[in-house]
Amino acid sequence: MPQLSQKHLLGIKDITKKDIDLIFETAANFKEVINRPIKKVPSLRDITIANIFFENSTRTRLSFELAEKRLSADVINFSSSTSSVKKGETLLDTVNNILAMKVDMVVMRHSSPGAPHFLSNHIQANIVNAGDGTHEHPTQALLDTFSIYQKFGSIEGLKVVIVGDILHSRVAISNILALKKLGAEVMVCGPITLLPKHITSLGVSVELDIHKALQWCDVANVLRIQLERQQIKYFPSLREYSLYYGVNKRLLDGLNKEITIMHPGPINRGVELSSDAADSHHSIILDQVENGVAVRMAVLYLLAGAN
Amino acid sequence: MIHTRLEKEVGKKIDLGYLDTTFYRDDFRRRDEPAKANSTKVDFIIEAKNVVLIDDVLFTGRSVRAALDAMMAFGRPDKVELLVLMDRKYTRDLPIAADFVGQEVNTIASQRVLVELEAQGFKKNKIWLVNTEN
Repeated sequence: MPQLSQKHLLGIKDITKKDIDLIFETAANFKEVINRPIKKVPSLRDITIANIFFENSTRTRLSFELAEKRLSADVINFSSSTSSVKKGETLLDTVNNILAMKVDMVVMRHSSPGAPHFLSNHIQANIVNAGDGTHEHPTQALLDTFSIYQKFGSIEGLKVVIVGDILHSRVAISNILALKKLGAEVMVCGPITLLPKHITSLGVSVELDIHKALQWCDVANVLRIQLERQQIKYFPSLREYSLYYGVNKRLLDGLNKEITIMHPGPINRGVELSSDAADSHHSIILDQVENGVAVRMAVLYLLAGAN
Repeated sequence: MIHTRLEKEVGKKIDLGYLDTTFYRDDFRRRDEPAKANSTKVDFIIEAKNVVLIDDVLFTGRSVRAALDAMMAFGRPDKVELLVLMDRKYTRDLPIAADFVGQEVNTIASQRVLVELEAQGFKKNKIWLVNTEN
């Protein structure tokens, strides 16, 4: 019988290709479940899950909460803006207090890279990282690669370009690690100021010209320009960014092949991705959102069952 | 196999679906590892239909209980009957009985009953009664 190699999902870095394959296989079954007239199964009915979000999120949190409810888990939500964190409580104290109420799993987003790793050394509950600063966002990478897998049937040998703000993006790092583990060729493309200096050490190639990058790839994952993480200016203006790196219909029509467009959301329409490209048949953005629930169900189910 | 023969016998079309019960099992977290799921394929609504639930071996009855739960996610059937190829007597954990039985067999709980069908790609239809060391 199959089982994940880890007790927590802290990052893609810590899991194996076999783990990813198992998550995909399980997620495909849950995708069938969430398309039924009754979209709910009783698997996690004796499990309580705390969603602890120290950083804002709409999509990820909704997606996790829906996944938990579809599995019949009991769910409690916590966001730092309305909590005692504002009164100076430490992370470990906050989480231990929540766990004292008999919680089995923790889904956490935190602005400090490594926060879930720190927690995993101190608590018993299963931890799922829902994004830690600019470090990793494993479930996003799993749902992105699962979406590619469902569209193409296999990831081995596919060419994937990740466009945009690689420097501040946990989605980019997790995606690169997952894609490499699954045997894809990965390229990053963006303004040189938004590419980390040693990015090629992850085994990816670098391209500064968006047209060449799109011409090379089968799939383009277009990242959001994260204005909230930029204290200094990395490029002159949003208008200039969208002129040089914005993906639009004209650019896609100029290629001599069909490519698939992805975006982790939320889209800054007209900046990194134009509306005519985001809403075109190239885009699998809404499939990503649907798959997100199925993939998160698979992760929670497999972690909970491994006890 | 049963489905095509049944359609021939009664002379009308009968809907066919496959049900996986993994997510409805009552031993989740009570085993060492999570059970592996198979695909479910039910392309029709079973609301107000007569359903025959088919399984190869009836043992503790827990799978059938899970299957009944799983089936209700596709609607409320008028009537459900259970057909099994092998009915292991005296091993039931739950009050569940089959309506149609291929063959009854006396077993003890530590034994295993394996069914190999030509339809699954085996050379011959075979039923094994295997003694396991306990």
